[in-house]
Amino acid sequence: MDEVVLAATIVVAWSTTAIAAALCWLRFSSHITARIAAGMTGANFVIAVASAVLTLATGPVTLALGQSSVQLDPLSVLLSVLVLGLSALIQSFAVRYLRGDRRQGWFVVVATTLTAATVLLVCAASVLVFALAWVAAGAALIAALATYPDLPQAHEGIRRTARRFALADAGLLVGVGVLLVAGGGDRSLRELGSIAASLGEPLSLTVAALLVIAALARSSQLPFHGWLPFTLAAPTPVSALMHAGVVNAGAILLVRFSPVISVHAWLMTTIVLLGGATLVWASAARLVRPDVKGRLVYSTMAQMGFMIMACGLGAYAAAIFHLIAHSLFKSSLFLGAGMGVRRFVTERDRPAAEPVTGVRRALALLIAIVVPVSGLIVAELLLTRPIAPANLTLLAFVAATGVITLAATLTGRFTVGTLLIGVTGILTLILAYIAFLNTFSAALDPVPASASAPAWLVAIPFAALLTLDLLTRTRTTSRLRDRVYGLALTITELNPSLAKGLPR
Amino acid sequence: MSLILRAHVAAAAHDIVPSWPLDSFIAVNPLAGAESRPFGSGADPDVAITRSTADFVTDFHRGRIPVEALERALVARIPTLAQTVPLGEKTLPAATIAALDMIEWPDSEAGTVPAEDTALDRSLCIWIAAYLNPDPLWAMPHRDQGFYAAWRRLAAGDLALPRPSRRRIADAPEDADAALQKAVSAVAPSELHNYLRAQLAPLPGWVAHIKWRAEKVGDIDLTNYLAVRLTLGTTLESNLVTPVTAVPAPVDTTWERAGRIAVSVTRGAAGPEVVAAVARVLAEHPPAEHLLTWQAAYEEVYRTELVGMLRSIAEPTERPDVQVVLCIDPRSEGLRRHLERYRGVETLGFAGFFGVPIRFSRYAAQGAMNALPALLTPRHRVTEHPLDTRAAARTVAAARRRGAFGHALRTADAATLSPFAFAETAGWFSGALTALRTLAPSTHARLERALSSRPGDLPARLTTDGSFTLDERVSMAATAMRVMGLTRPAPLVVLTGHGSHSTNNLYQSALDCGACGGNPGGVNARAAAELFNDPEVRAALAGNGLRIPDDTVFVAAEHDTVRDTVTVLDRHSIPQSHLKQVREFEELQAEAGTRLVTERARTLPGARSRRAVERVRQRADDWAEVYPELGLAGNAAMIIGPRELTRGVDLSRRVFLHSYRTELDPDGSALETIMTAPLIVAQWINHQYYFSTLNPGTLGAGTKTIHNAVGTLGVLAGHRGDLRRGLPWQSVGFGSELLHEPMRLTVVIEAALDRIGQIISANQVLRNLLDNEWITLTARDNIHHPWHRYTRYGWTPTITLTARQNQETPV
Repeated sequence: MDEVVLAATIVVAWSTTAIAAALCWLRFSSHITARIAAGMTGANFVIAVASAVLTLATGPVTLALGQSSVQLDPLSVLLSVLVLGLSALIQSFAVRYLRGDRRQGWFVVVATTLTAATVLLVCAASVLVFALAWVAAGAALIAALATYPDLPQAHEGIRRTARRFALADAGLLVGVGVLLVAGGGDRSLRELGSIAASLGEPLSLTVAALLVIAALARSSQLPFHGWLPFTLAAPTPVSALMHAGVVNAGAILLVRFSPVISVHAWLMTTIVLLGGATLVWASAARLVRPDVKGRLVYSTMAQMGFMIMACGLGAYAAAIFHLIAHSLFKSSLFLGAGMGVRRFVTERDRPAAEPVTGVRRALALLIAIVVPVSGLIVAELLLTRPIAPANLTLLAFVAATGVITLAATLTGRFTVGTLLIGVTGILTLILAYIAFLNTFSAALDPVPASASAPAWLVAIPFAALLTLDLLTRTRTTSRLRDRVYGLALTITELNPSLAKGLPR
Repeated sequence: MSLILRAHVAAAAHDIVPSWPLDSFIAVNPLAGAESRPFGSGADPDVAITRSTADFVTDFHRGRIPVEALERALVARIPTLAQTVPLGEKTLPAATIAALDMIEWPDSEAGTVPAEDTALDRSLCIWIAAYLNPDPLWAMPHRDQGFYAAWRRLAAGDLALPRPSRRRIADAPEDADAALQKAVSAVAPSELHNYLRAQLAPLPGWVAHIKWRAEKVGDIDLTNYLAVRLTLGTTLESNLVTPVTAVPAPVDTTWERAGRIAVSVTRGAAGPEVVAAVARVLAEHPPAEHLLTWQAAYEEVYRTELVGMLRSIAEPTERPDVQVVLCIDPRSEGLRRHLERYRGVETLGFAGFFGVPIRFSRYAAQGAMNALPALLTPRHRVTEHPLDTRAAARTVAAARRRGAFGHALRTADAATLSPFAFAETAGWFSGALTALRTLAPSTHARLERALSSRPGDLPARLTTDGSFTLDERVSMAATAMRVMGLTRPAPLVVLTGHGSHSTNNLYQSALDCGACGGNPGGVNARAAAELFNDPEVRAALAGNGLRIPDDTVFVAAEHDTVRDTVTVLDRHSIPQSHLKQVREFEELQAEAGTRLVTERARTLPGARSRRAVERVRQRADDWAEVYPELGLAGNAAMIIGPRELTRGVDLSRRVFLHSYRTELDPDGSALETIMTAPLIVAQWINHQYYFSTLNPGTLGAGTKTIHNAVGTLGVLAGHRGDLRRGLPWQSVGFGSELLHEPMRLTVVIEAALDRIGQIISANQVLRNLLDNEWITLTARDNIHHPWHRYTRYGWTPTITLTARQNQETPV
């Protein structure tokens, strides 16, 4: 029964693609094709939810085809529900959004292919299946960027993406090839540890490095980050799908191939450093972008940096938790990218806030700092067993969010009402967050990392972000601030010929 | 010296049309600078001013353009073609020969290559966008010193530029005027004007916005822009202007075409004199003129049909039960037609701001909006006074509290440290909301409305009597009554403004009332209703001879053009005596609205289905819908005259209708007001739609699906580039079909011809528009006189095709 459901999830996804492609080739109405594809993806979502319930009850399930296999373990179940749910929603959105667009058919085929490849990716249980699904997802993404092939900006986006993906995926295939040869054919992801051990140190490190490069490129991390900001010449649903379903594949690779990668402690350190660097760099770039989608792009880059950093620290459950919540968040923001004018009008009609000054402001800030931090400490002590240092350092970010949110509330309006609602709200959210995160980690129960980067490394990006925040607020003239602002503004558009001062 | 340079800049920028930001979208003619020249003359070869010849020839073969219309258009444009030409044994009218030329051998058009932006343009776009960013997460340092000064300080330290460039920027003058002076010092004074114009030509979207901003906000101007552009350009040692590829001169094919026509006309027996005669005719109408002639013929067919539909019946004598005054917007035409199916309902058309120009802010609101036509400057601020002050205080406190939480959420997302954990928490909620919003938009909207109560929803009175003196109020009321011809007010007069409710639509302001500055017109209706109901004002009006009966009550309402519902506003101010009538009116409008939605669903893309009315109305809340309504797509004409001209005629929501009665306007001042204001607004809208349809990539905004908003300033297409002007493709087309038929505005006026002529002579703008054929004008003195067309040389009688006779009758 469980195997049937597993097979159904994957088969239905690929059938949706096939049917969509066939209907488009037959010049069927693209509107109806879009509705059929969205409906089928929705049905597939229901199947995935059913499979989630089943695996919760009966445990993981594997389906083998010769040496290759696919599986339904907690990770694949969670992620396939996420991918199929988001894909169904975004395709339903696109049925109306791309109404009349002559490329609507192309979008439907590309979106369904991307969904099917990603479902196969998360359900993959053996090395070859994973690698093929990975490459297929990358190719589908590039096809998605070609939705409006006449636009020069689309060309630029495709060129940049294709170059980086080709390089990184070539490396991935080389690394996977070595693993296949060493394992004598396609082997399950669970046996990776022994295969890697049989490879010997330098070869094992090379393979691990190639895998890491592939993950970094897909998640748009430094130094392979130069493709994501140039992908906005495709319709909004493509961006939503991309930011919600494709860029987070890096973490999935790092978690699945953890037996190979996490053996090398300093490789994990590199991952943390690169993730942290992207986090800081993308946060700075986001602060200076004036356009709404540009901000979302750099926000995604920073969030992926956070996620990759968590992977490097060995906090796999936290990384996947972040991945899922971020996918839901970012796709909503992209789909709603046109709300700016309505929001402006609504804000204009709202009463102005009365400024909170002096003693009340100081009191508000004090409460805003003490309450979330102490609430977090108490929740962590009560609910988390055992307490991992990696998770603790990441909680610094949670504390920062709690403090900033409560401070913004109380310095906006310091009354009994806001105090009560604010404090109870923050404490409830913190408690719920910790409880949810713990339940999630327990349910996911990922294979722990063999070695991981030292947890204190998180302090570096945290401190850098804090400095950045102070720089944005400073009212005195500061050359450092001017330099950072100018760099953040123009380096994202850095063109080699611009640097040489030549016309393009 | 800087004043002279600024004068040069202003002169170079003279033809640039300022473009309004997204939050108060005003339709403008993107080629307004060329209105002083004949339509289509000296046009940029990259700008399409008509559809292609292939399209016109297809229309010809479809029967949309009869050959007689083509010949008439030829004669109208080139009078010498009225003669006949002997060709061997036959004699043909010259117009027929020229028409044959147009139909049989259409010209091929060269495709235009989109210009690639230079590194300079790209760099400039980044700096301008960062400077003008309305809600920055990190405010640009030194922004208060002006664009050039801020840029210079930041670029001098910009590590992305090579060191020599940075040094050159640091050495540049500190002041924008000085920098511009230095940059143009190498340009000869006689060439300066053209040089500056060439510098203002790239990035037309940003330049147009800067020109608007220089007048309305003042934090940037074109001098600063040019200073940055030229300094950056010399620093980058780049070409400052993209070289213009020379358009090859078209090959002269007159003799060839003449030969072919001669052969086809004489059936092979064409001697050289025949060919020469034909060639002489063709030389009068060179290929460069073909498109304009096609366009003229195309429009003439519509115009003749329109004028033929107009009625000549006497007005009914009994007093109507309810009069509904709507905006001149073409969408109102549909509602007026459906409302007038009921006995006792009379409708009038008047500019949507009802003659009350105000700057309005809701009760206790932090911002205000300009509710008046774009060309006027507001001089009176008006706000609301709630009737129940305790409830108002409670609502304001609740709104402030909600505002604090909203601000907190936005800060959590926007600050540097918090977005990571914020995404982890907020993601789950936003995922659920997205699912609800995409699958059940109306439920989501109902939820949103239930959770947000705004101070603006409280019953309140406007403070018009505080802002305007009694004399001003009387004068506004008197002008309104005279201009729309409201002499026999019904017991209930509903002043209906209009607005459009859509979701996730950056162009929502383009669908609102243009006469109210791109805002919903309900506020102006409320202000006007209060004005007319004021007993002091009524007494003064009676003194001026404009009597409003004591049993007349004015009520304000707003027409939502997506849902086609008319909501009565300020119910608290309706006296007991008229409540029953108001309720009856509401039932009427519900039925009329439903019928109108059914009519609209026939042309609205994707709206043909069962439960069409419900589905179309749901589009207001659907965030995925790119076609919430068609707006003013299809607008083609403006009729200024009494409703009897158009009562009962189905104008397919394509016509601006303004009420006017000659007999109530002895000195012609009302007509002058109408012709110099609402007519110009209609012309702007018409040309905005016209050029956005024909040039979606350059004068229009392209497809909405890749739009990327810069705050509420405007949109970029993709991740960088110029600000887009005009309307998006989804406002004018569906897929590869056009929803808007590009036709220049046909104005029809029923008023004394010499009065019209006087008004036109006295007004430069109108003279330009009409003499240069940007719009056309057809008029008649009254119902007993024939229709005449305005031409540069006087009034000429028109051809009228009456629906009953269906034959050509020169009137």
